[in-house]
Amino acid sequence: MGETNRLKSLSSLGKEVNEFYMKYKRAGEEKKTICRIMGYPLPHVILRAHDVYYMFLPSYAATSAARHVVGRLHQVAEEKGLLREVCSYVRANVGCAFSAEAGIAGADPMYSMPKPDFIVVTESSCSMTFNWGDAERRIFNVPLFVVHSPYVWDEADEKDAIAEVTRQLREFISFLEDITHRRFDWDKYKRTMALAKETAGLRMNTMDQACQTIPSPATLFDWTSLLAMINYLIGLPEGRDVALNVREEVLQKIERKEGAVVPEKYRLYWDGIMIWPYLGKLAQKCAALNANVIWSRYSTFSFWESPEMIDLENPLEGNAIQVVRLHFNRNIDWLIENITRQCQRYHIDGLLIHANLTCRTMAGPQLEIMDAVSRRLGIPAVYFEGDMTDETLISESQIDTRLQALIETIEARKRG
Amino acid sequence: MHNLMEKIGFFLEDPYKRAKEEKLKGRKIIGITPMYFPQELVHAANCLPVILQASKEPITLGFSHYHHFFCGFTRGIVDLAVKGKLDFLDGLILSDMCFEMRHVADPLRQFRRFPLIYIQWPLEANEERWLDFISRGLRKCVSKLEELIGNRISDQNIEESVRLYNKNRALLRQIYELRKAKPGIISAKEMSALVISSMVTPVEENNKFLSELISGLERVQPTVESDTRLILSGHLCHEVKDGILDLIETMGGVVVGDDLYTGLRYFASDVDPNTPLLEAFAHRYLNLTVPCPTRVDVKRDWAEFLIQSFREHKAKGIIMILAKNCEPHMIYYPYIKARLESARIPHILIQVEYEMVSLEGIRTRVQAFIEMLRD
Repeated sequence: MGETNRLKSLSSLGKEVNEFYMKYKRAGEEKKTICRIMGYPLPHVILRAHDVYYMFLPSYAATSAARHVVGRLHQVAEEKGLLREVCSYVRANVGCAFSAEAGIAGADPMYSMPKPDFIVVTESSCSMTFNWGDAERRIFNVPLFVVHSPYVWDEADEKDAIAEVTRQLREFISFLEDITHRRFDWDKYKRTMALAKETAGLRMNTMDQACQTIPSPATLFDWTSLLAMINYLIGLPEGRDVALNVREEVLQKIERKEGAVVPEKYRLYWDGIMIWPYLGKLAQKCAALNANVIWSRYSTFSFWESPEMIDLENPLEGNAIQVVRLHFNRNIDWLIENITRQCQRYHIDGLLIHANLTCRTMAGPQLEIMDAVSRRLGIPAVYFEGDMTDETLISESQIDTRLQALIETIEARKRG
Repeated sequence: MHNLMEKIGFFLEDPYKRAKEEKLKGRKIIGITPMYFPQELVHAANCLPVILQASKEPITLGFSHYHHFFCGFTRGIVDLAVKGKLDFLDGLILSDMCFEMRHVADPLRQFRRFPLIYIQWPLEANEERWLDFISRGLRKCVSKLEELIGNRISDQNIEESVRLYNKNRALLRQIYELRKAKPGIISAKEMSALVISSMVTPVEENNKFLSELISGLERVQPTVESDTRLILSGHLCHEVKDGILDLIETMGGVVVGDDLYTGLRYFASDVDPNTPLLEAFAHRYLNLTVPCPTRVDVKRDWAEFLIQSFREHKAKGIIMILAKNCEPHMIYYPYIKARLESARIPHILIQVEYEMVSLEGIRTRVQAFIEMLRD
């Protein structure tokens, strides 16, 4: 029975995340400009360069779930009339918005977040995110700004989409200047983008190198933990330090031929958002079967996945590129092609498809991906249902049986 | 109005029956996914525009390609497409209204049964900053359509199509107003049928039929006591499932107004014939008369619209009909609920599922609601 040997350099992130929320709360108390963001973690650097504190709502929901405090937030949202089929990230945040009214604000530090001065939606794929932003606007009665990336239906559309998002980001900066009554500091923005580019580049290169290595020194559960660095620290020296530390540890483990799962017998691809409340448990379940979940389109094809394309002389376009090239914004042919290629590159033995019951954007193309990639590579795939934060939608026994079935099928095929 | 349903009720059996007949005559049939792509542009290409309707058959093959937790409407489209039952289409305009509709393209692109033309609408309404975005999208779409039919679509044709469809919407609005003034002269199901008919039949014959119908309706007197006047709201993108509209009225409700897609939402606003053409379509989209929960709209408020509509129609209650897993509607609902409560407007939410287990639960709730309104 295998064991996990996860990256130690990620342990500092928990403290950084706590500190992030403390700063946000303090900024609210001190009447500094604060905002709520949903969608893609793109405006972070723009806001940081303009000294605006932000709360990135998908991360808030994921963090609350990982800390097992999300259930009460969901309950508050349901009491307000949100049905359980709604994205559980939305339910967590609506619950948070009404936590004072529901009398739970003092029950956990994660429950009491100050009212924002404005809301930003930056999205390239999930139309629901705009509905969510609009709902938050009605709840808080504050201005809302939307950045809407065109979908890349054909690859030829990408260039126009980048130009369009760049144009919208310019409008966003005007909006920021209006709302804060301050001029935007383009030099500071360039410096922030330079750090973001370096940090994101480190993350992508480290992941790629680790995923190619057998045994892999890291696991998807490490990479998803590392997303906290993107969501909370991108554009800051602290973020780059985390990325450098992770790189250092990964290189050392490669040198020592030390895997994240010991022994690593099976290498898996994961499709779907992570199950945040079960992160540790899932990592153990996989390791117990000697399976290492190597990569996922969620961690590799998103969250500043194209840093090499950022031209620091044209940082807005660099920002736009990140949102346009996000995998959610890609057509099915691109997804199948690229997931297949990457699975080959990373020596993947099987596909684990997690259908997020309340994230239909993520789930949308999954059945086609599962069928096509599995056939092209001649590797098995299994499907199970769950959710990113709502524990009531997760069946542990379903995960166990499907995972077991996948490993048995891989093993049987290996034996011929 | 039994004759009415006899004349246009063909879609209850097969909404695409007329389209298939036209196809046999040699006309190209272009499908359009709801809600806002202008049928005019397809009509101007001398093709028959057909807005896709909710499938009525059990989803079988579609399950392998589309998740069960998506809305029934999109699942139904995928199911019909993979079964080959949409093969009569010469092309499909995939009008990207929400991510569930967008992902319909995933299996369709794999199957390649008919050409797809994609258009994306900005997710914000009532903001002029999107005008260029929409105009560019429409221009691209027109050129793809021209490629598909092998002909240029002339401005003159578009102008004529706009005239016909504006006429169609005006006729439907006239009937809607007649129903408001004389409750019961046309049932909710019939009203919905007229709209669906406008979505799937040639506009010329539909306009003729509506004009004749209006002459008849103008002579009819109100047929029911109007003490439980109701507004129906929601149910975006497709018709309300068979039986539910009848159920509401047989329980004693009298539907006098709605904002359904197979209702006011479809015909509320016209295309301005005096504005440059593609820009006029963009303006129609940006200035939606009926606020749409699928869009961000800072200037128009759906709850406010409903409250005004309730008062204007002298209604006694509002029934909100929600297609299961329609996320924009689900997300808007708590706000509407709160606003209607503070305005002391009686309301009820009915969630309709594709795989309806039983109408009985809905019947009990509707009955209790209507009895409460009568007290």
